[in-house]
Amino acid sequence: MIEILCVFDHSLFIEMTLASLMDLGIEKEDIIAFTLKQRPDEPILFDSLNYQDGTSLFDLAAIFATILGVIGASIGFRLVWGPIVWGIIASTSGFLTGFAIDYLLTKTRSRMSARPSAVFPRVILVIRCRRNQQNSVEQLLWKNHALGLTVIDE
Amino acid sequence: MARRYKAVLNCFGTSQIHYRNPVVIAWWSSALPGFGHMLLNMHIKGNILFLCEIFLNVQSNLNLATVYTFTGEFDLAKHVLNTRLLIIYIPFYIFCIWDSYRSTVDLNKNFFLAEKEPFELPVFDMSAIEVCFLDKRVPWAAGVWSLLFPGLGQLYNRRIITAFALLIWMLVITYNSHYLDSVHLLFYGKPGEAKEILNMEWLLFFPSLVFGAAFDAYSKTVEHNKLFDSEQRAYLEKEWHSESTHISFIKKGEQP
Repeated sequence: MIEILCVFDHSLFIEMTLASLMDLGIEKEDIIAFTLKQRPDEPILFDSLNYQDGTSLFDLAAIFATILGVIGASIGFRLVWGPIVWGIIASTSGFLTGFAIDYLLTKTRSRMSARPSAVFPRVILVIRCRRNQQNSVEQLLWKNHALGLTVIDE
Repeated sequence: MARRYKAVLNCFGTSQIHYRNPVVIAWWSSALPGFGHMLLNMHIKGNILFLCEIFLNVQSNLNLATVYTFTGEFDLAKHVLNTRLLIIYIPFYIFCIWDSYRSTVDLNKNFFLAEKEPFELPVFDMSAIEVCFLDKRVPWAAGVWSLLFPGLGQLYNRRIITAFALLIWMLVITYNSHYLDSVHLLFYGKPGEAKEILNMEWLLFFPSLVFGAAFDAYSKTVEHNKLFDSEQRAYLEKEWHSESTHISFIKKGEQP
């Protein structure tokens, strides 16, 4: 018997993997899933909107875009291009300003380096199987977007 | 059965509570009364307030007065305001902001309690009229769809009632503001006529509607994805973590 250890991010692929492993004839008792705790001070992906521990990069942007959109459209009524064009210009610049302010604030607040990618290992699966099943299990895992795997010989 | 829960999912949408900043919700209530409540998934309250807002605003020409105020024509602003319903708008407006702020604070307390309880969520709901399931979706795609047409992003992330309200109001506002006619004329190089055809009273609903919808679509997709993660986590820990399977370097029976 060997054990295959692999890591996944949360997605429906995990559950599809588990279902397919049963199809391959692997018993439920031979599969175990560990879920990883997140680092408590982890800088959340791009935008967590969870005000307890995270930051949001979209609040101020949407607020500024709306305010400047209203003002821009109103003033644009008097200008050559009219309210629509000026409204859009004002909204866009409001959005960018709000985003920039939030971004800079977030950056100074957490000096941590940004995470390299949005995909992150959060689940570890350990599968015990026979040596002659190794190939098909590995293929199944790769097909279902495992982030990495290793084989442990007992 | 848990007394409080974080989320429900069915054909009419996904409702979810999580920590929210009351100031942001209050802001959206002031931009578009009723919308703050919709962000909190209080759809009945939100839609009633939204209807009142559009009725009162259009009746008293409030947006038009805003346009004149911003362009410095204060006399015209005073002139266009219809006093028949104007004063009643003030308590209505303050109530929307106050009530959404208060609700957010109370929901945050409820979320604190709900998080302590065991988490179970049906992730799949199929009925004769709709199919609905929990999975991960792309936040920026939801945001962009709602920027293009408020309501589409909400359809994408399973918020049917918000989507329905936004789609209808988007159609009403587009129709009454003549904004597409104006864009058409603009492309034909007639900026003067393009300006004249616009109805500013209705056009001024646009910024709040479009950006509000985009904000809602984006932030709700982020939260739904987090909901997916925590539900799957709970499932894996419950179903795929049998005690009999033992992997560890510590041998059975060994003293730690």
